[in-house]
Amino acid sequence: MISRGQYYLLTVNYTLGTTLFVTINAMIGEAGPDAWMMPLWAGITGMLAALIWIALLRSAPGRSPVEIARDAWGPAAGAVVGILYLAVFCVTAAWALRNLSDFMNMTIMPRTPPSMFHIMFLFVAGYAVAQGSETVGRLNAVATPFLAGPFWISLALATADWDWERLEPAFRDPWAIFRFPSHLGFPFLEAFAMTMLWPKVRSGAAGALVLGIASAALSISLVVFMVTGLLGPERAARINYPIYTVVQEVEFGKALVNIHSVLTVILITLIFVKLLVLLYAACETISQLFRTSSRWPHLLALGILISAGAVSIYENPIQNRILNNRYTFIYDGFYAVLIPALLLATVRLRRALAGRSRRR
Amino acid sequence: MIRRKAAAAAVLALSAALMASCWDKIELNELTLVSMAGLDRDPESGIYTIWLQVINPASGASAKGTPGGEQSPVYTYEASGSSLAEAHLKFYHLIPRKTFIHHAKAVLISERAARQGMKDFMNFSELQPDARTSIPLLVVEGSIDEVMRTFTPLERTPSESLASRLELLNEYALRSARRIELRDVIERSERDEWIVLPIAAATPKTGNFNSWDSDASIDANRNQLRINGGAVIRNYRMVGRLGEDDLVLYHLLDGERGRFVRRIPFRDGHVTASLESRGAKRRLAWENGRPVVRIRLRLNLSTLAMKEFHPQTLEDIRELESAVNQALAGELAAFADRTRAKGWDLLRIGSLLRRKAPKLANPGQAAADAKIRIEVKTRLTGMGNLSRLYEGTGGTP
Amino acid sequence: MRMWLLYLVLAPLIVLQAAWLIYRKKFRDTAVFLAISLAGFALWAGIAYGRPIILNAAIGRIIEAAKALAFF
Repeated sequence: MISRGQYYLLTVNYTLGTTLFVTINAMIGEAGPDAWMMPLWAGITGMLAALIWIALLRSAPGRSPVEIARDAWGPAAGAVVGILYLAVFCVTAAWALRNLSDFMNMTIMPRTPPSMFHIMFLFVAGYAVAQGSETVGRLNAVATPFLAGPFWISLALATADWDWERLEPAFRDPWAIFRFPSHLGFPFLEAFAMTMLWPKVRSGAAGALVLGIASAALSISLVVFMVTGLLGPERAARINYPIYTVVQEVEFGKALVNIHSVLTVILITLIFVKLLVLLYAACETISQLFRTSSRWPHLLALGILISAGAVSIYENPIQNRILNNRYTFIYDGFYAVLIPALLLATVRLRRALAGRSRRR
Repeated sequence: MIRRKAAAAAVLALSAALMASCWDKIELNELTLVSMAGLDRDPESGIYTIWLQVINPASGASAKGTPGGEQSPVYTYEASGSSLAEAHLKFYHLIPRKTFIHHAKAVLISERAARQGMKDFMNFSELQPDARTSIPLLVVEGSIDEVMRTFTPLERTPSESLASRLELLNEYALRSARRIELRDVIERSERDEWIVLPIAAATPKTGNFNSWDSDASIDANRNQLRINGGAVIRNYRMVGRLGEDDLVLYHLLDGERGRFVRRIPFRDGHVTASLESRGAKRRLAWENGRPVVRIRLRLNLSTLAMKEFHPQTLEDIRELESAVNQALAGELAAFADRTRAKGWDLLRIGSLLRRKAPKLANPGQAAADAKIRIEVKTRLTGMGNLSRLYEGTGGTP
Repeated sequence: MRMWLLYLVLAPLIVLQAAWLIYRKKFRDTAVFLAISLAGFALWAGIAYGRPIILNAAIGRIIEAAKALAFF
């Protein structure tokens, strides 16, 4: 069982995970100096979707969405939904791992084979997940100060180069997000994976989830704001990992001039947390769906599957971005909004009908 | 329990493969630290030439007395190719270690390459994940080959010498700015703003300058590099030069903070005013549909250099301050007119209009029409060591 | 070359783990394990052969097909 504080921190770190390096460049390229508003809108969408999930989870206390699907739609359709969610969690984990290895290969470790990153992360994450949700929650809670502290301190040190002119003209394009709906999907709707951890939260999970999404949205917005103010929209829209460049250019006095490896470590730890949650969700899905009794063998199978997925998830970052812009919204909307909404409708309908038949 | 410990140990041992970075480890002595880079492109053939000046780790105090004499603190290598990447790779014909360009402190580019346009160099720099674009870019007047092979006295690494001089010039003479880095050229050019970069040149040489025995010569004005004037850059291209005098005025209008010295006409003669700029504020106003840019400068005046006159009364002080105000406002206005007549938007009016009035139909025309009003406000805040000047008759004031 | 490396590494893992599961009489687990790990093996085989199944393009095709069906 994990506490609501741990659940909150897991939600925040999970949502921040890959966003900090995959989407900042795209957002600034699309909206210019007003890009910091996009995560705020996306966060609101995420919070609204979370309300659907909360309503669904509250209707069947102690059960996860996979179990609710089986209860509501019967064993056959429930199995289909379960396998769908298993596939979604595996694909998302593969995506996160591939984003990570792309980043590492491009910046500081160009000669390491990408699969080494994938397999090592899966090893460590698999071991942590096998220990249970307490380990996952506690590990993240302990790691968070070591992530948040150096991250914001590095950004604060970089503000020596701040220039307000980079953020002008301001407020010209606040609705840009609606032209680029893929940002509505990633990353906030992916927080659906957190619902698999819901049954393990002692109490107050609803507030923690919504607050976690809101905090992540505010953090991402602040980071985009700072990157725009430090690099300028022209450079930030073109540099692949602007947050890394921001920290690369930090010079604290004459001595501290190469602190960007700190940021790399923080980013890979955040991705690791994301992987933990996804692997836990996948593992829980398997055990609930098929009523299995062992843990390690399935973690091994998932490891094989996800490590293969990480290599074949996309051809290259350019193709990834093109297809993301086209399909992310539909893809995330389907499994994170449509299916939970249908499940909720089914559950409510059943209750209403049952209530009516009892009254008769 | 045992199985769990064994599993944990196995996991940790295996992840050591990643932590030791088996594939990407590089020892420090397998690297060559590049301290300065030089760039050139031949306009006819399009061949790129790169110079890399690398630090010699064997030089230094401990190397004195080694057989063969003292070691050079830096070595310069040169390579050419039909593209920048090809030229960079050709260094491995000459350099026995992997080049580490992140350590560079300055980049020099030849004047002819600057006049043709530097966009290709900038794109290449930003494409490299480990190249620094947060280092000063200087335009080289004269032969860049000679400049890259010139030693500097006192500071053994020429790039450190140049970088430190730029900082001193900025702080004490306002003849250099803080935003003269590669990334500033990129940012300003992308926003269609003008930027002025420092110019470096080699000073006259006596004798064989390729060897380090110029160390023994007492004339430090020769056999080294000098920073002279400013190269005016628009959209990655060098379009002109600014003299030293104009450079100070340009930096004042651009909002640089630093000290400088100016001779101000006062009463029947001149006084030497030691001034410190506290920044320039711009405001955009509209008069009859015409943009008016008000630039307000605040200066602190000190009697530190004022050997001609020392104010004794409050009226003296007010008179001094207003003399400085008038003289500088006049010089700055003249500078602004001169440069705008040439079509140089050094005050970045166009960009100001684009930022503050983004819906303007024709910002270029509006920028050309704009009126500039410059206000200078000086306050006497500092003093030299004397409260009254010496009076004798020998010598001019 | 890559194929036999794949067999060398993955096959023992899968076979030994499945055998252990059967030994412990966990037949349901064995089925699930084999299903997932063989799916992973298939993906790896695609990679080893140089013809990986690009997942995001596959998802794209599924979505396009679903859109076509939905509007139909």
